[in-house]
Amino acid sequence: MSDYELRKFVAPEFVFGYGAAGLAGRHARNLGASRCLVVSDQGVAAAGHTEAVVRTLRDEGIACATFLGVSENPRDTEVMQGSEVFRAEGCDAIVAVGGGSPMDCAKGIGIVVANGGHVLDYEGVDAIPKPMPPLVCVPTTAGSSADVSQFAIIRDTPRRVKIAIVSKANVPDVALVDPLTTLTKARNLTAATGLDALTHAVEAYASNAHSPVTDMFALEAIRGIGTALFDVLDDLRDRDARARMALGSMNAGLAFSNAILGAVHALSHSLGGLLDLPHGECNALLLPFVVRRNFTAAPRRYRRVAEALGVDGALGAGGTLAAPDDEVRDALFARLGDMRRRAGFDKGLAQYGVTRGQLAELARLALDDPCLSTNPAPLDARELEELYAEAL
Amino acid sequence: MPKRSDDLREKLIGLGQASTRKSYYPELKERLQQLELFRALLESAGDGVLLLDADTLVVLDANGAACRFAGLPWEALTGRPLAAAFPELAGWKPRLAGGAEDAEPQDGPRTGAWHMADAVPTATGEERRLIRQPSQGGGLWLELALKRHDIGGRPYVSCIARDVSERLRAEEELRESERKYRALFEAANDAIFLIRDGLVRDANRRACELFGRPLDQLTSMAPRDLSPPEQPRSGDTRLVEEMRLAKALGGEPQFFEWTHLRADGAPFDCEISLSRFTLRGEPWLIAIIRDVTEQKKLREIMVQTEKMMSVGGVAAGMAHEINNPLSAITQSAQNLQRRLAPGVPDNEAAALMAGVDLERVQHYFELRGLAKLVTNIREACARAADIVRHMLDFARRSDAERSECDLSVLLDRAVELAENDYDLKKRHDFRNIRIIREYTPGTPRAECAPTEIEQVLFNLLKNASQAISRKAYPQREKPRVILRVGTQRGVPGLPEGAGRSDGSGEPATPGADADYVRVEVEDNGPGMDERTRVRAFEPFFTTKPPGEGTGLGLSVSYFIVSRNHGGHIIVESQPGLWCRFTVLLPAVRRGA
Ligand SMILES: [Fe+2]
Repeated sequence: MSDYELRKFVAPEFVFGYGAAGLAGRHARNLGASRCLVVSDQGVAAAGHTEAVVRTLRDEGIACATFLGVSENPRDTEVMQGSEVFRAEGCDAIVAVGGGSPMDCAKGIGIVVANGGHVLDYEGVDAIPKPMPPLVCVPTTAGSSADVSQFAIIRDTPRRVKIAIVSKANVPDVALVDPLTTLTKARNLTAATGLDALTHAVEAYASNAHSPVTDMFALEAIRGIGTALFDVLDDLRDRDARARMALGSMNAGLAFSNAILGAVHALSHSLGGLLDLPHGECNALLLPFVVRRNFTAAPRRYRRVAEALGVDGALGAGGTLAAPDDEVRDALFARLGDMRRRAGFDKGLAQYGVTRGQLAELARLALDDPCLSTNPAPLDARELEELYAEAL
Repeated sequence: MPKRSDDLREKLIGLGQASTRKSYYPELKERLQQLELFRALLESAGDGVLLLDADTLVVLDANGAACRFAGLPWEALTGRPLAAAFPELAGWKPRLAGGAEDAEPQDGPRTGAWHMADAVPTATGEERRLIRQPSQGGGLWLELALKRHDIGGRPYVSCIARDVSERLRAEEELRESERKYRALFEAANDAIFLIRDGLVRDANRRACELFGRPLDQLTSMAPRDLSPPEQPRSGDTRLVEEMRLAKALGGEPQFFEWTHLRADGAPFDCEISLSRFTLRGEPWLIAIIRDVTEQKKLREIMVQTEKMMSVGGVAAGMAHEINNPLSAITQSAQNLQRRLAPGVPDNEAAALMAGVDLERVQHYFELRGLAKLVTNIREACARAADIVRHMLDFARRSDAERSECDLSVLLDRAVELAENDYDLKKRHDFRNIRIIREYTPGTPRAECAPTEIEQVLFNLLKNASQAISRKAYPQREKPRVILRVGTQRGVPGLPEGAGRSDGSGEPATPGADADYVRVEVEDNGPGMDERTRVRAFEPFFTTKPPGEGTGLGLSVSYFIVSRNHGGHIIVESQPGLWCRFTVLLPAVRRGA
């Protein structure tokens, strides 16, 4: 595979920095909004972020309707409720405030109001015929990167699976990445979203769809998150550490939105869909096992990942291999596991309530996930089931 | 750093107020709003607006009015062919042409439906069509205007449907009103002229009849061209006409008597009312011309009747008064004769007592011609009694028996009587007069007392015979009497209920349109001058030398016809040429 094959890089217009959230009104106005649906959730609203954004919108003379009915893994029913509110209120733009859930839900609402029908009708890749109304994202989690990505992950409640809607039409018009909004995040959520971001970066870098541009963002994200995450966890009020975390997360988002992900997310989506397990924690748990499984399919890439995470001897001077593959692989496996435990997660899947009997079904669902197609190693259902078993 | 470059830097790095990556969305929203506004405008339009696919004429979009006209909701109307909305259009293709580039038939599928039709496109490429559209309210008239458009390289047809029911109704009402007034105009019993700039511009049927001229002749003439140069009452026709027209145009309606001429030059009297009206801003005059010839005749009849009734009354009164002394004279003369007659015991006894011989008294009487004198008295009395009896008849209803009679039979019988009449034979043999009969076949019968009517007709024949006897006929002319029997509808000029000529209070005619049987006796004798004619029926008015008739014949006839039969008797004459008596008797209605 050549580095110079055709590649496209899609990213929203974004503003990164302290106070970026305050620009929501201005950008919404510039995008032609006169009445916005503000999609958020109860936790974010309780932290005051929703109200702050609404104020900037009102200051620009934009009327607002607020929809807070979003749960952790946003459901199709919530999307449909939100689009009803959008229509009933006569809205013409959407502003999402919060983590991955409100942003994915906002994307779903946008898809439905522009295209009609049900949100599940648009499952898959490039299946959205009409672009949605203007969408401004104000992320408050530094993790999901839905604010820069072309992904929307929605939980199909009747089928109990997470479906991926992947389309360039899902990229928001503007992302306002404000590290200050992440200051209020609790330790556990900070850790989970941070590890999710790390997973994004690692999977994007190892992806068979990576490109020189995505590599740049991915490696920078791995490096940044590798140190920033623990600085933040040491002091949750450290603004600059929060900012580095936010930047790392955004870089990871830019990388995976274009290079796509891998088996970790395929497996994790399955767990989220079937059992409603927390996304970040699942990723953190699965990442070491998948890396170990994939390593031989892209050893040079994983060596660079290891190097970026500070694994000694992953890369020698002048590109010579300092240590054999399996040593580096095991070191990386250990490092990822350490990071997870240091972040405060040590449960196996069984402790999350997953039984051995569910593994085959989970694997079957994961096999259908689009993310699996960019995993550096082709994996079949049996191999996926084995990975679950390892994480049990 | 100075403020200005600060701003510039902000803008350059994308943090200015308006620094958002280009988005067509605000512009698009504005256009959508315009479209929505336009859509609202279309929706509020009273006209139906439909957008059609040019090839299939399938409705792509329609506004509220179009849905209303079609009687279909939008969802049902769109996606279906135009004929689903307007059933009358089934199987119809508009003859539409596209732009100039489509004037030539093209190859390929884009040529469209209008090329398949044998179309001659209008200059604007628009086709209009009036259709009847069934609806709940009983149907609408819609005017459809179809036009071809190319939008974004695709051919469309726009169809504007306008409800023209109201307009058509108004037009129909106007036509109806026009028909109504035209009917009034044409049905009028008076002649009507519409005059502008002193010339007749329109005239009704009655005017054509009255003047005896076709419409196109009348419409190029001035009223004075239809009049004699002099008006009997008012003088110079041209001057009077000018004055009347000017006054009427000045807004002062005119009403006056006038003499007009028929096409054959015969004058007739009329009453004219002249008034102004405005048509399309121009002053017009309407002239209503009433022929009063018949009215005059009627007036004459009325005057005549009035006069005859009073004269008849006077005569009857006189007769009644004379009757008693006359009876006394008659009786006395009779007694005188009887008391002188020999062989009567009373006479013998009285003579014996007086010591005179009755034979000698007789002889004396003879010598002195006394018996003859008494006879004269008696004869004179008889004649006077005859006159008195006639005079009494003037005021007395006859009780003669009535039956339905064929007047031609009565007329023939009267002719027979006249031919055998001693008096007539004596002076002027009736048989030397040529009798011309003009009997109209199928003439209805009249209910009358046959003996009385026979007498009337006999009187008229006698009158004719006497008139003829007074005329010296030139070589080529021979005495003749024309007898006519026919029907007449109504009495000319007689308004309903005015036919009471006997003062009895009973209508002489059962209705204005009652049919009469008309009998005419026309001689070619010397005729009557007007003075004589108007007095012809007066009792004792006679042109005959004294002693030649009583002058009661026509009076008696008059009373028989008018009072006893509810009819009319009229005399007309052209002095020196002819005299005509007309008897009108109510006809027996067929089927009545
Ligand atoms: Fe993720």
